[in-house]
Amino acid sequence: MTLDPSMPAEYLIGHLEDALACDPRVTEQGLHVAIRREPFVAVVSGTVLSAQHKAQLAEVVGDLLPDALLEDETEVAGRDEQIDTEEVT
Amino acid sequence: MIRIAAVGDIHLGVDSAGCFRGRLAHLGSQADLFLLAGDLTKRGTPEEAAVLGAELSGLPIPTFAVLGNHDYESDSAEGVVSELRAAGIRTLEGDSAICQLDTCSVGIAGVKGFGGGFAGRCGAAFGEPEMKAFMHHAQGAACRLETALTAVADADVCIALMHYSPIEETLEGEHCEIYPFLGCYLLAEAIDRSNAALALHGHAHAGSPSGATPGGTPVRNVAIPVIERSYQVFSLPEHA
Repeated sequence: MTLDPSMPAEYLIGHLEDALACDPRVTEQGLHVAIRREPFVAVVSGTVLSAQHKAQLAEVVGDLLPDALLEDETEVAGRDEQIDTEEVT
Repeated sequence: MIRIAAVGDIHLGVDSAGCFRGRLAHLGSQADLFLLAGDLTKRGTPEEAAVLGAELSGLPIPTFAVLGNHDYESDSAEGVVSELRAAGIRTLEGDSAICQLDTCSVGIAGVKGFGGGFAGRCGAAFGEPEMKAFMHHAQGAACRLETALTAVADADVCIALMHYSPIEETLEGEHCEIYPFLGCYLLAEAIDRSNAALALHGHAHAGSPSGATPGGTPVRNVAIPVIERSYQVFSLPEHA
């Protein structure tokens, strides 16, 4: 199912965030979407848990808004992780 | 012009007998139609429903209602509906009615609605069954509202009547942390897919009186603590 790109941005954001949370390809709860017009761009930001999720969120957005450009500002959690030890006293 | 009187959150209890009816003495001369936006009782008990029916029976203008969350508290919502029906008031829940006035027809689509939140800060039907049930209820309410609005699309004027809010703007004044329990953007989306001229809701006692959907439909919060009177009257063109 595709979304009507002419619908108000609030609704596009709601449906895209819902899909990113529920679609089994991504299932990321904490992502944020912004919509820009002219050019028509969906901006996704937040932290994803894997590179696979990052790659597949483009598919999910593309399925819903095939005419929109995707600006993927997400970061993969722990990509440059350095394990610290906190001393609890 | 048509005149729509509306109020929500009157919260009648067993101690309210004789208290509200007198406040409606001029209703017939001030409005053509009366809409009740839910939370008509405190806890929805049969005793409160009886008081509600007595307070609202025989009103001089057509009256329609939706229920609110308080009206479900005692698991006796059907009793509230029954008392309203006996008083001559039709309760709408995912359905609609067309009221033929002298000069035009008014379609009223009603649904309690539900929480769920608003774009950027809304729940998702994911995870625990309880969360799925919460969001499925919200989604179902919006679907039923859209169906009900479609059914009255041919009326001269269409009105969406809800208990929960379709927009954030009329919640301003409430703590933003509880917005997801006060309304859902899916209701606004259903309204914007229709030709509704006005959307009315209650529930948000500390909210704000007016706003609009993203598509521009006026939204009014008629919770009695917000309007600070027994009902608010809205005047609308006869052919919106």
